[in-house]
Amino acid sequence: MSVLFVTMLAVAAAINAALFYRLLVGRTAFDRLLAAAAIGTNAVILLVLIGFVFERPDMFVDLALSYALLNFIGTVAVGKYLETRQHQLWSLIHSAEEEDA
Amino acid sequence: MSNEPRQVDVRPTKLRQTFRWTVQTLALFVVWLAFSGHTQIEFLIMGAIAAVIGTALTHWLFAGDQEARFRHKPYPPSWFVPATFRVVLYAPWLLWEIALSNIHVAYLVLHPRLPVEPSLVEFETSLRSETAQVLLAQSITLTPGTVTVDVSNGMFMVHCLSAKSRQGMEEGSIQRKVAGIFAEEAPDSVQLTDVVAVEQVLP
Amino acid sequence: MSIAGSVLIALGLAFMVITALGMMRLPDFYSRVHAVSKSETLGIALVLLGLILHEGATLVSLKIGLILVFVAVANPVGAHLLTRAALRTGQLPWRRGDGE
Repeated sequence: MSVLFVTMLAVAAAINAALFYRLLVGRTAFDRLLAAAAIGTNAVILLVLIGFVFERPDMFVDLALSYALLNFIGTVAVGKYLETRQHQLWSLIHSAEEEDA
Repeated sequence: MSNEPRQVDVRPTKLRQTFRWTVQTLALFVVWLAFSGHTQIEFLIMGAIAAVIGTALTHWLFAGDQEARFRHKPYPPSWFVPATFRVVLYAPWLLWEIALSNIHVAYLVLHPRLPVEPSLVEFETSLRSETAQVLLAQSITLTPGTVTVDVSNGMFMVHCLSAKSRQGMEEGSIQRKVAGIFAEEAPDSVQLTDVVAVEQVLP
Repeated sequence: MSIAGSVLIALGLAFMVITALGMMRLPDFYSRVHAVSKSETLGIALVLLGLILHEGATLVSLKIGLILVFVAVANPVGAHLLTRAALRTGQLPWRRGDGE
């Protein structure tokens, strides 16, 4: 019974390791952010499975839920921040170009 | 139909806002109860305080969104019964599309040569109500190989993963389905514009 | 453990493996969003559904159901927000013939 859960846990952990590749290699900041969001969502599954392995799902499910909420807020906050920052940067450049012309 | 103004100012009234906050506070309190599972008076008071703080915080964060807003004309109450019925009929089709889209992505990813043909396209929707546009955006994201990137002023920007999914967008069958739910009009085919230059995406 | 639950969990894990493969193989950020917003959402939904079937009707499965609903809504929305932010910073998707 528990062997099955440990196997699932191992598979989910392997998936997370594969996602870490994208987080480290990246290429653009958004690739890294996307990988971080995916890792966070996978961590929710990991937490629930750990709860079943240790036969304390009641406690770990609460942890998983708060983790899911925080993960979503984190993604939204960072994405929003980058968007507005770059927006301001672009409008600054454009207004400078208009002044030059 | 097309001559009358389709968008009206729906500024929320004081009564409506109070009602909204009351419902939100109660909902937060119920969630607190479900998660704590305790019924002692101290925990209830703590939960009530947390619910009020949560509502106040959302009001503070999203105050700008509750100011003047131009939206589609409100639907009459009698409209909601058939619309709900049509949405319920729409759900199984959407679930089937979700399954198809996952199989499509899995096929593309697992294929040894990775046969992707990505393209970013833009089109103008014929849908006027905000709710219909949101449903269309969500449905596009869930259908095979397409993701909605941006929606503003009725212009949809969609990223297609393969040539097949791009063709699906051109046929515009999702838009016709959503238009059917909201009793709006939709064309037989959609004019897609390719987005290839940075000037097209920046204001 | 019920057979249906195990099958659902195995299927969900398979979709999560596809997500990870997609994140490694697909050519650019916009294509990778497809992997995260579709395959991962379905994979997690299936795993959580399987766990609900395994657990039966308890408070724990109610909470797992809450997680399921939240992730199903939040994951595509988060992916969409990231793509929109990427587009508004002026990043264009990769096209066949661009090289790399």
